[in-house]
Amino acid sequence: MSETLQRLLLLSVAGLPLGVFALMGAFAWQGRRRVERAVSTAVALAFGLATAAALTLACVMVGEGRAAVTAPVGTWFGSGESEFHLLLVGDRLSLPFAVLAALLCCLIGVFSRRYLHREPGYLRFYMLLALFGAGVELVTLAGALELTLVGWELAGLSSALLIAFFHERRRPVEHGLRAFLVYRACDVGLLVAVVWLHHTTGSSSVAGTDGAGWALFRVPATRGDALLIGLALLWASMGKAAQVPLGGWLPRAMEGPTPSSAVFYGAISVSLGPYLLLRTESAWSGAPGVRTAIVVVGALTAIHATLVGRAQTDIKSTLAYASMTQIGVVLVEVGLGLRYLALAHLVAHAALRSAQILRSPSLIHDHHHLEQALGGPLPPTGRHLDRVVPRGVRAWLYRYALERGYFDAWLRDHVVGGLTRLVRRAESLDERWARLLSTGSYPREGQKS
Amino acid sequence: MIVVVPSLVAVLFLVSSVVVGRLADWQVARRAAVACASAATILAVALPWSGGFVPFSPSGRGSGPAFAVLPEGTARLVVVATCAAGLLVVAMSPLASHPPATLARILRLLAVSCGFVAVRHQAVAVVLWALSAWLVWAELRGHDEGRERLDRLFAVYHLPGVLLLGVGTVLSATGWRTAGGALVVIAIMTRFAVVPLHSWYPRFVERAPLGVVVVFATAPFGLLTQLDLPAPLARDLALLGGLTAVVAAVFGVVQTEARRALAFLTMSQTGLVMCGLGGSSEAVSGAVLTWEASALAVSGLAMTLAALEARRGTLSLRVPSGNFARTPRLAVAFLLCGLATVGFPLSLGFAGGHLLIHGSVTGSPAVWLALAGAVGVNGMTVMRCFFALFAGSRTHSGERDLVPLETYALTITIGALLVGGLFPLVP
Repeated sequence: MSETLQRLLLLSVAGLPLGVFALMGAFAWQGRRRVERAVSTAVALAFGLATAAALTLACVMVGEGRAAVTAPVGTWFGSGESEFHLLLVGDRLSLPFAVLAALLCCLIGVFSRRYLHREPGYLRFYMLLALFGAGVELVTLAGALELTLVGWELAGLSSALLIAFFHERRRPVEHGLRAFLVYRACDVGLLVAVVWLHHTTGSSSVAGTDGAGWALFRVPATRGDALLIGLALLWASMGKAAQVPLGGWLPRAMEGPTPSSAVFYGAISVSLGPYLLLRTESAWSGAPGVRTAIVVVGALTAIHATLVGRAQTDIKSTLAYASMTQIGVVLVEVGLGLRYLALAHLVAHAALRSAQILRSPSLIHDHHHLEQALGGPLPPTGRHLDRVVPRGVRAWLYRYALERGYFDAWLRDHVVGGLTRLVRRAESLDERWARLLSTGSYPREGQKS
Repeated sequence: MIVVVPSLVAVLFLVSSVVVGRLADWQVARRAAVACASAATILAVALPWSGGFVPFSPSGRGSGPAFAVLPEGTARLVVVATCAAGLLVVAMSPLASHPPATLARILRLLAVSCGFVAVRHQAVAVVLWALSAWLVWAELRGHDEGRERLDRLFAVYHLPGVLLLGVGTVLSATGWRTAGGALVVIAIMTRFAVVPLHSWYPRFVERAPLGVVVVFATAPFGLLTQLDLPAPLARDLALLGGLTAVVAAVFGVVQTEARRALAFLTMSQTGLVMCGLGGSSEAVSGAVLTWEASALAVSGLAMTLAALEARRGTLSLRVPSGNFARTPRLAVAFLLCGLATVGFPLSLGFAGGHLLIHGSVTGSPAVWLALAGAVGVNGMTVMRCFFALFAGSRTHSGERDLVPLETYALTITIGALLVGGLFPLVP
């Protein structure tokens, strides 16, 4: 297969969903009504073709024994030493993930055709699905960290908007906002990592492949730089991967439509965090402290989520915590350097969990079927914990699980609440000063304008 | 130096302000203002394509003033962005809060903004600076009748600001560069609401007609393009800009009123621009692009807010209380303009923010980390406003979506932001 064709295929993986999104956006702005079938067909077709393109590339790479396929599109913009390179890379890490993401989005597109039939936000759902898919493919295939940032932000925005899909209810909206705030706070980490990597190495684009066929970024000269970059990347991935203490948004994110929950929070979106760390391993592997931090965060999240998940009373929350647990374990694997295991774990978890979430509305039905097949009630799980854990500790753990580890309350009351109170006090002083100047006299306490 | 294209645009705005001010029918006045702003935008965009920078009389050769067809470098963008923002303002200003007299003042303010680029002379810049402040003060006088006078607050800040600029310019011209520059810096800080001289700004945005607020904000950037400060002062001003970006971002995200959130968001963006202008060449390019994006995107954000306010009344952010389905285009326009303001990918602001932060890293680590944080927090403010204003409620007050005139102006603005984002012209 010619180089040009390979590049075109690589570009089409991210370009097709983005193109469909742009087209649908233009039509929606004009106010033209589109029939449901046309909308869903366009999106599913785009993802289907993207899957075929990524799969073809993977087969070509394996067949020809090549380490990677690159598609340099040029420089988007730049000034002085700072240039934004448009570079896509298909290697042994990115292509399997690109196939998985495109395939799942395609299947969700087909599935949602009936699931969301006559739903008022039908077009909005498909537009956001296309935007999300494009963002994920950009993150996956980006050969420059700046491009990763673009995809990262697009995926985050579409995720928050889909959580708030049922916008007439207050809860989904609040939860969508909460997810976006966490994403945005963590996105700063990615921005910092991109800028610092570029500053210290002169480039934030991939510089080649290793013996295993994984694309590599330039290695920072000092351990301190690698530590800063690694910790910033870990912070960025903690938001998307819903790691402790920021993961409270994940169970709340299940307020969105079930198909989007399946593909976002069961499969792809939460996997972007570990994927980012795998992708950039060469940039931070020189700092052992980063590995330790990744293992600690992953292990704490896995323990926390498995405990809390056991006390949940609805299936979607249970599945959300199960996702958190597995992603935590994947992070431990990433931190320990078991990258093939981590990649296989990510792909298998994504496929299984999205199927579970898609099936979750039929839980009771399935439960009955299972009981009928077994000829009696399902055996209880977790009895071994009764034997191993002392009674007092069990009570404490139960309370811990019910309160979701107190993390949400701590963040709300002490971190965000504390900052908000401080800012409001400062603002009140500023307001009194402005009132003094506008009235010419000093206002008394509590006096309103 | 006198520059022909901005002068023509300024004259067009002045003439139309006279016409619009005399029209009794408010609808007709608005349509006339939109037609004028459209013509000015076409003039500003089309004439540069007809030729490059052609000096009629190269400076230093003759004794009279030099002439040029187009302004040089970054100033060239100022006129286009000012006209586009002006078009958006006059097309979207609610009639109830923007009668013909106010629209006429807005057109005069736009003429003043173009005047900064049309005549490149320090003395003229001081006069134009004073004129724009006076126009806004005259507008505010007619609005506040209560005990708290916004015009008084405005005058307390801007009268000394104008005087300091005048004295500073004279001192700089007579050889006292450092002392003069310091006074000019204080004047600029006042005008741009840089912390700690910012207290007038949140109230100004909260109470003044939003069209006036937007146009007043675009006015002084033409002056910045011809500013020549001593290096230490420029660096101090950049640091204060960075501080403003962070402080205003944090203040903005906790606001409970939409207008105040807009005020702090604008302050933060202005702080980012000022911080970039005092940095490396990449940072300066980023700052200019960020200003260009802000001029359009903040105008779009402010005017969609004004349009929503005209339909719904005072806008609170305490709880989500909007209905996206009623006003989908208005909501999308608000979101797109907001995201472009904070430099979201695929918008013009992204290129600016990217270059600005990349360029700042060579200065001080604390500054670029703070800037990255400010950009992140500003994004939170935009999204919080969007969800609070356009989601969370089943009920609605029957507000209508964008009218054709509003759609026309917003389509141009959003199109410019998106196309500019895909193909950014880095100065």
